[in-house]
Amino acid sequence: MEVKECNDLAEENQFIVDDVSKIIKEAIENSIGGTAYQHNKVNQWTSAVVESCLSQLTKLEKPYKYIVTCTIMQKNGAGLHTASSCFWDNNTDGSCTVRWENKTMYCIVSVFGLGI
Amino acid sequence: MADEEEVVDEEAEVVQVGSAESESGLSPVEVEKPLAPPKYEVRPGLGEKFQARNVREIIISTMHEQLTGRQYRTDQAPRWAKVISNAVRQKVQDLDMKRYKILVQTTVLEMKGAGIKCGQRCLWDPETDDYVDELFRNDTIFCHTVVYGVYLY
Repeated sequence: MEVKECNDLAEENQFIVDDVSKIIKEAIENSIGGTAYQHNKVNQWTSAVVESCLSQLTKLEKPYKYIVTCTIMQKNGAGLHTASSCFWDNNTDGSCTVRWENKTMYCIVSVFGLGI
Repeated sequence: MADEEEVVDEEAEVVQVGSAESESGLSPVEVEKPLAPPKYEVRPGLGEKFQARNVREIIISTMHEQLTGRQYRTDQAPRWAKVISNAVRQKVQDLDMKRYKILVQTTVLEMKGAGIKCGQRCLWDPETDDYVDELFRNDTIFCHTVVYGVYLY
């Protein structure tokens, strides 16, 4: 019992939102930083953002499973709302959502990290 | 956390008193049941995997229940998103899939002609983990719900 609790508090078993949020922001900036919404390029962009996030997350070398979702939406006055509900272990698991926008589009990236 | 500290202190005192008393000294401490021997199972058993079909039905029925006959309203959309994701999560938990962690994400969009693209990547074990996603569309609302099931080894 004691050993298990020590493991939960060790740094490598905690989902650190700040680190993940930095990773996501970098990934978005590098993939779609200065671009305007283009329908034929959106496919590439979502893949690029998601793959770059995931590869940076694996470099953290933590015992975690990750789920990364990215939504890119053109700005035209439409409304978008996202909610998530999770059944997990609060000590080890966590999520981070980053909302980014420029003049022509919104980009919302969510990362869920689940401890093994 | 506080309990842990107490346990450590009492055991230290017991050791000082003497070995003969150490066994009886354990009784004031909360009785710790002996842990069951490890089973070394790293995969869900037969019939215990993520029930994708049942989850799909749950998602479709919940979205229809909440959104049929409604028009998109800015003040109500955030509430719908939360209600749908909580309801789906509760019903999926009622399926009682052992050792599975459940994540539900619901997105409610207004149909106004905007272009939108969603992508996802998962780093997990495809033999044990799975996801189900479904769409609901009407004239003004577009709702996407995805449920992830991740196995805890």
